[in-house]
Amino acid sequence: MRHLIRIIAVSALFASSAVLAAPKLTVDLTLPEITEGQYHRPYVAVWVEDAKGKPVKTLSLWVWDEGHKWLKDIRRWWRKAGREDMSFVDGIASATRPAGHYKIDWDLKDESGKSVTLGTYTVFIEVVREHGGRDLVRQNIDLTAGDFAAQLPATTETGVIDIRLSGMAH
Amino acid sequence: MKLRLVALLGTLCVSPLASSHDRWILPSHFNVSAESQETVWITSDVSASNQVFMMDKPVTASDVRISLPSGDSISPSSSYTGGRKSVFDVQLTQDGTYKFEKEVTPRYFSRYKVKGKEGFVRSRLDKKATAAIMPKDAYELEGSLNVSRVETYVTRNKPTDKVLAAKGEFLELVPVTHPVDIVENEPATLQFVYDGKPVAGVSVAIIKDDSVYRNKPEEMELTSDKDGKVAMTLPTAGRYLLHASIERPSSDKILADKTVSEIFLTFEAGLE
Repeated sequence: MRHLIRIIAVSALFASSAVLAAPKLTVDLTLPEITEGQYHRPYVAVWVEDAKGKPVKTLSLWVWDEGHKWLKDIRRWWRKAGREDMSFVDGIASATRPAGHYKIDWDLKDESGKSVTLGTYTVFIEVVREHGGRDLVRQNIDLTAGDFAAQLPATTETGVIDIRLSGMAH
Repeated sequence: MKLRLVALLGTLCVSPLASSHDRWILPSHFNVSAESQETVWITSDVSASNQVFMMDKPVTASDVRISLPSGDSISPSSSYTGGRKSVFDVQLTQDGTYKFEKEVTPRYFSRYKVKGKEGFVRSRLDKKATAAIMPKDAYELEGSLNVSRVETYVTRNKPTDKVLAAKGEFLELVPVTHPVDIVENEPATLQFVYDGKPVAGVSVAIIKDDSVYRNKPEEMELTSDKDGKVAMTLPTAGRYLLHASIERPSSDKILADKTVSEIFLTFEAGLE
C-alpha cells in the first residue's frame, strides 16, 4: 500500500511536470575568476533579439549603481535596447555580481509580458569590465524546433555558457 | 587624402587655405549615456591637417553652432584657440542627437595670370571685383564660389532625427543610417542632397583615424548614386573622417565660373 502510494505520488509528479512545465530558455552563465590586473566586477547584459535584430526582452542587466555614465559601454545592448528609455533601464538594472555561476531564465515573453511568436531568436550575453575586456557571445534559438541544448565555449570575460530550451511542445 | 588633394589643387580656383588640408570637429564622445537630470560635458577639437586627426592648423571654433535635439541652436559655452587646434565645450542637457557645425559661409576665390610671371595670382574676391583690381594685361581670370561644411553628430541617450534634416542649401549630407547606428561590418547608408534634392556624382572619401601610423592611407572612395546615396560597410570600429565634394557650373559666370561644395563629417563606427 505504501509502495503504491509512492508510485502514484511519483507518477503524479512526473505527469504534472510534463503538463505544467512552462516553456523556458535557461542561460547558465559563469563569470570567471580573473586574477590578472585590476579587477572590477563586470557589467553584464543578457537579452534576446528577434530575427531582425529588434530587442525582445532584456533578461539581466548588472551594472554599478553609479549613474548611467558607463551604460553605453555595454555597446550592443545600449544600442539595441538600453538607450531607448531610461526609466526602463532603472527598472531592470541591478548591482554587479562577483565571479560565480548564475542561472538566468527567459519565459519566452517580451517586455510587455506577451508570449513571443514561434520563430528564430538570438540570445546575447555581453560582458564588459572596466580596465578589462569585453566579450559579446550569442546563440540562435529556433522556437519551432523543440527542446534543445547548446554550449558556448569560454571567452576571456565569460566561462562556458550552457543554454537550454525546455518545455516546448513537440 | 593626399592624392585627392593634389588632384584638387591642380584644378581651378580652389582656395589654397581652404582646400589644402582636411578640416574637422572631433568630439570627445559621439555617444553618451546619462541620467535624466545629469548634464554631460563634451569637449571638441577643431583642426586641419593632412593626417587624419593629427592636429596641425588651428581652425577657429568661435563660429561653431550647436543644433540641439529640440531644434534650437546655441553657441559653445567656451572656446579656445591654440597653436595647432581650437577647442570648444558644450554641455548636453537634453536627450537626443546634437549637430556641431562650423558656420557655413560661401566664399569667392579668383585667380588670374600675369604676363611674364609664372603661376597664378590668387584673390579672395569674386571675378567681377578681381577684374576691377587686376593689372590690365592679366589674363585667364577664373573664379569659384566655395561652400564648406565641417560637422559632426553627438547623441545623448535615445537618438533623435531633427538635426539630421537638410536645410536645402548647396551640398548637404543626410544620414540615412543614424550616426550612432554606424557599426563595424554592418551596412550603413548616407544620402547627399544639393539645394535639398538628391544629387548623384558626389565624390566621397572616407578615411580612418591614425593614418599617420599606416604606410597606406586605406581610403575608401565612393560616389553617390542617382538617389544621392552612398552605401558603406566599415571593416573596423573607430573614428572616421568623411570628405565629400561636388562641383557645379555657376548659372551666370559673372561672379564665379562654378560652385565647389564640400563637407567634412567626423563620425565613429561602433563595435559590433
